Amino acid sequence: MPEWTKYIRQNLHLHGLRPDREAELIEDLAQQLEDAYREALAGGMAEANAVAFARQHVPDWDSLSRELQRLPRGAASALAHLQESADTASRSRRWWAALGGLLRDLLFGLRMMRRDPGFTLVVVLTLALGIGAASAIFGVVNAVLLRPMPYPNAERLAMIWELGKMPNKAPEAFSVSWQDYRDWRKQVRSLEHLGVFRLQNANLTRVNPPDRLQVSMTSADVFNALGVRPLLGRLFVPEEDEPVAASTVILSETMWRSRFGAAPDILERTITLDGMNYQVVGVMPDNMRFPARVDCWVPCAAR
Amino acid sequence: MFSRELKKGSTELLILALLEARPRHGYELGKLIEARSGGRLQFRVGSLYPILCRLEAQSLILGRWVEKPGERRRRFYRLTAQGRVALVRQRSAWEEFTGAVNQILGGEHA
Repeated sequence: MPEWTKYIRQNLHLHGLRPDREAELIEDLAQQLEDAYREALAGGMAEANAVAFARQHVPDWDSLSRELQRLPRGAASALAHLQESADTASRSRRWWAALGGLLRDLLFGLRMMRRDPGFTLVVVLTLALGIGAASAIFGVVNAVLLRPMPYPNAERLAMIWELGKMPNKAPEAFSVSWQDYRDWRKQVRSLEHLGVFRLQNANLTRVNPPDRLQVSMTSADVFNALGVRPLLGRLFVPEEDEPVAASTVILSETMWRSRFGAAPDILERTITLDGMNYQVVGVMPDNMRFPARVDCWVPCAAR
Repeated sequence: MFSRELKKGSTELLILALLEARPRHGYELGKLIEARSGGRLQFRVGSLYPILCRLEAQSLILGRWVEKPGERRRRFYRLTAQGRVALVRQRSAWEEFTGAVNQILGGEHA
């Protein structure tokens, strides 16, 4: 196939035109000569004759060069002309033009959508699923990674596990045993507070109706580490980490309101969990959701 | 075939009129003029192209590159709002002019 661009560059002589505009002119002309060449080939002409036929479309390159050269300088492209106009036009005119363009695009889009409802449905569903999935992922990322935990000095909180090493297996994180925790408490000097917790279910009885509760067995220092304050009563004290201590419980605010009608004398009552009596010593506000949204907290050593 | 001078006065109007319905590329314009005139009007690329460029420089038409898969991109020209106004004016001026010429020619015969 003839290289029309090269052929035109050899014959067309333009001076002072912007290089990008000159390249556009040459490309446009090359396309037109190629159209003529292809048309000749399609009409049964031999290759050499087709080339000659296309070349005859511009018999006088000097004349064409002169005519193109005479075009208004700088406004050789209508686009450039429009850009220049836009630069000098007032800000509000440009704003209205942009708004008009937007409206036209919008109407064009709606017409296209109406023309092919099946395709539109597929696109809308795809977008809906994509946006929904992205929102859900962002919701999780925002809650887990971006939003700080609702505790003072949250950046100083850390979760610790024991690492179990099994032969021929990657190390696994294990829960800390009560005994190890006690040893750590005695020996560790680099931590301000060190607490443990464990989630468990328990049956709430001697109330009507009985209930299955989510309970967190929590050592006293967990509350100190988190820096939380009770709504009513008190937090656990270190003595309650000992097995000999009396069984106590801290209720969640939701539990206190929903099962005990927000009784003001709740601190004078006992509740029964799995058949054992627990003295209510406090109520935690609902924003305390550690280690999860639980119904109540009992000391670690209580069970 | 018509003389070069005779064609020259009407080329702009022909281009604007052909772009009224839809955007077209340069070579297509030449072929359309030839086809619609029954082969009596023929324009080579070399004579049509400077006029296209001049109309674009006057913002009467606007060129835009259009790419299609498997083909070289083509520059399609469309009529601008200014171009539509110019087309209406040139069309009516042409009708008046040819009407006047016909009147004179008819008068000679009468």
